[in-house]
Amino acid sequence: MIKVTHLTKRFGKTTAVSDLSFEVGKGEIVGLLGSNGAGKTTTLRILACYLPATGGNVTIGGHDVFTDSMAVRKIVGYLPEGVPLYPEMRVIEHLRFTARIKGIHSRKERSERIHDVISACCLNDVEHRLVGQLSKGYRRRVALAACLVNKPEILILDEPTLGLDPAQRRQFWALLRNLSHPHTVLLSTHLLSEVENVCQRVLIMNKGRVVASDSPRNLAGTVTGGRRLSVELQAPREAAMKQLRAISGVTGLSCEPQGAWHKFLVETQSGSDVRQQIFETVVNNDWSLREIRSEHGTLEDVFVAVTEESGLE
Amino acid sequence: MKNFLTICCRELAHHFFSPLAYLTITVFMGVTGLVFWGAVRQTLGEPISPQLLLFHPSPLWLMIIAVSVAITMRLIAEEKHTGTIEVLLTSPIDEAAIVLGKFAGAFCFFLAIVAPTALFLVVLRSFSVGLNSPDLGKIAGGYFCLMLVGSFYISVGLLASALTRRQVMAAVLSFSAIIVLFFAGYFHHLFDEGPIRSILLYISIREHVSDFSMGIIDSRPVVFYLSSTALMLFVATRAVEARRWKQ
Repeated sequence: MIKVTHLTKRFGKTTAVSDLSFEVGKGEIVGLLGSNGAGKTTTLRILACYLPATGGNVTIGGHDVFTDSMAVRKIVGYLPEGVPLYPEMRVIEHLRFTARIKGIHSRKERSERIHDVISACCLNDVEHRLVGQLSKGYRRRVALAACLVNKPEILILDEPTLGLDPAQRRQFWALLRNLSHPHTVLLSTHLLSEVENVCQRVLIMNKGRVVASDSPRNLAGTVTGGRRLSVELQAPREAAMKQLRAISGVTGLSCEPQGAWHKFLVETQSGSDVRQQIFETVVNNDWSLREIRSEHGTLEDVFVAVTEESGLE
Repeated sequence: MKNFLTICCRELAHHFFSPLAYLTITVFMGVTGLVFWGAVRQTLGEPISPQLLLFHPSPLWLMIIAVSVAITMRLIAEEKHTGTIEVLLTSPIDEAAIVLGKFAGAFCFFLAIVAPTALFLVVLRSFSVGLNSPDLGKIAGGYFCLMLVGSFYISVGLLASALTRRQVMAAVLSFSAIIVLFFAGYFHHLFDEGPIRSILLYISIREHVSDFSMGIIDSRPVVFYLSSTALMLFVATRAVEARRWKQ
């Protein structure tokens, strides 16, 4: 649905986006991560036909954003970072206005669509209130409803939960997940924990380039290299260290005392699973085992690792 | 066309739902009413047409300039400042429809401000004894001129608003441009016959108003105002489009 090829954007001597390439498939929810100034907003603005690119190509739904921007704008719903709305309008008036400028000129169809998005975004209670009097959470919902009013195939959301409290953020993501119409979604955020729950794929940007792209789980795997197990045992420390280190596939071992128990962190080679051998060792030595758990790296670890790595280059 | 009407209606609604609009209308009516009353008192007993008393005093035109600047300064600059321009420009709507819709909305509001001045002539007629029936054709000529000048001033203000994201800057830009054009016509007598004098006479609002309010409809000022308005709107559209130009 979205194909970005060698996209470059310069503002004077500053390069905001540099030779950026990626694709987003139909129905995918993809998160664009990056620190401030990484080029996320610039990229999304180019995709939404708001800014021109300095070089490269972008096609959305088969239409070029530079030469056929009107066709692109018809199929894209764009939520800008600041959630700009007309504060003097009532919610229903704002949605009517947005529906009109998005090409829904039939009164009946407009009413149906507005009714649908008001229900989908839970705006029934505030539909006759002035936009300027709403809380941030409701304003985000109004902006999302305005995005959805013409049933766009693609949603481009720039920092959609910025400024919301945790409860409002949770509601927003639930809303996005529960949309009945299947959308292709490209969103930017710097809240990594949310991306892990919502996005099927993550693109990490740094200094205008994509430095990592995969599912959140796979990315988390890459940062730890292999696998890390947390094993809690009641056993003599030295003997346990010796026996665990002897297991084939174990590459590292550390121990933390926890009262009468010890917590061993076992690093293993990528692809090897030593849980069975650990269990057998415990049984053979007549030790007590209260937990054996796989520990994965977090997306935050990945983010820090890849941005530091690319910063050193 | 539908998008143009949508933008136009939004602009009109924005004006009429704001208390500032009614304050503007009140101040405009108050000042122009006082000016008209003063002109009537000064010319008591003189054989002078009432429409000249309405359309000739300079304070009326200064108020027209002030109102035009006040109406137009926010049109696009405010959208840029609040970011709503991002919503408009990423919607499937042509830039020309945005500019023309905003122009039409502002012009309709301008008409709503100046139209009540016709009441001055009605009141004057009602309370005057022995005054001849007003020449409706000449009055219509005066208002036609007012509309032409108003559309031109609004287009200049719209262009200024499209060039900046700060309303104050837009107001300063449009006021400066309009005031230069307005006073340029006053200085034609400083020059001997020649191209400069001709140009100053050609753009002199005072000359145009005199002709129109005497029932003389000259096509040259009509062409001047309509073509200048069209040019300003074209440049304003290009200024809004410029964001999309490949760099």
